[in-house]
Amino acid sequence: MELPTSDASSLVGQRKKNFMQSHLDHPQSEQAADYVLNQLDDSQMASVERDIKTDAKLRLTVKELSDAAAAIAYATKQTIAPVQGNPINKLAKVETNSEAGTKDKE
Amino acid sequence: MSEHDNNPEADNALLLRVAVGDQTAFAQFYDRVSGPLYSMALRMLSNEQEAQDALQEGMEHLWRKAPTFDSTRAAAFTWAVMLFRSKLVDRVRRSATQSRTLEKVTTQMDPDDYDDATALVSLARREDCHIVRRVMTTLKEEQQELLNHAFFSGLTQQEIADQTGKPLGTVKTVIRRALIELRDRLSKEGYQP
Repeated sequence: MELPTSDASSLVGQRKKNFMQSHLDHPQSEQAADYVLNQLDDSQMASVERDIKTDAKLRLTVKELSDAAAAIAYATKQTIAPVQGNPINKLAKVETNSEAGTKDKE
Repeated sequence: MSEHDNNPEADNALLLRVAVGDQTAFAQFYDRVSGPLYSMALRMLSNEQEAQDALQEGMEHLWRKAPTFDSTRAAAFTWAVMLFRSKLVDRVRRSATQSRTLEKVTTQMDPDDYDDATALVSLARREDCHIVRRVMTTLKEEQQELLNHAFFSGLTQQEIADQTGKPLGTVKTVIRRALIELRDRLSKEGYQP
């Protein structure tokens, strides 16, 4: 699909901006990758989460790596979810269980 | 639903409505993410009934956790996928299916090959799928293999090293660099979750 010239150039500009923002690796990028892929133990995860709160660049790195990791979900055969799995009709049961003091699975 | 095509902000707005108990918004959000989530569960669990159970459990978990969603830290799609994946990883690590799971992840997707195309509810999602698969194929073969293992198997890096016969240091380095390169290449393509 051909975009109008003005739209195309602004889209290219935004893509370049996105790339420039992300290609500067944070010193903790590799640990951030492990964090995103659930490869850290509990104490290491807690340490990264503390750092995220105070380090804006690390927070951005984790956000970008999480986006990339989540994209991998597309790299498998896409199958229609079962309609009966739509939880909308079962939410009342979840909330009722909570109200009755039943312990929800975490 | 068409008004939400290719619009991460709309996904974020939906999830913020879910966070305050909006069940209609939750049903819409389910429609938008259930395809990729269920597909991920099928891949990781290799069993339809288990995948359906995991999807149900996962969506209930998303409902309870929605108030914790922070759009400054993650896009709604990313948040849902990664939260759901964490639950799947817990399930895989508790089960005895780990050795079978690692075998399953060696199949690479052709960028133009997906069944049940309507599982991706919008043109934008199908385009995202195409972009991601195309970019994945530009990674080195070892990067693709180990990154797929890391994401879909639920195994630890040590277990992946044990099962592939590769040194642990190599596995760690390759997976980390593969994810960082995937991030860079997706960003160059203008991919936004």
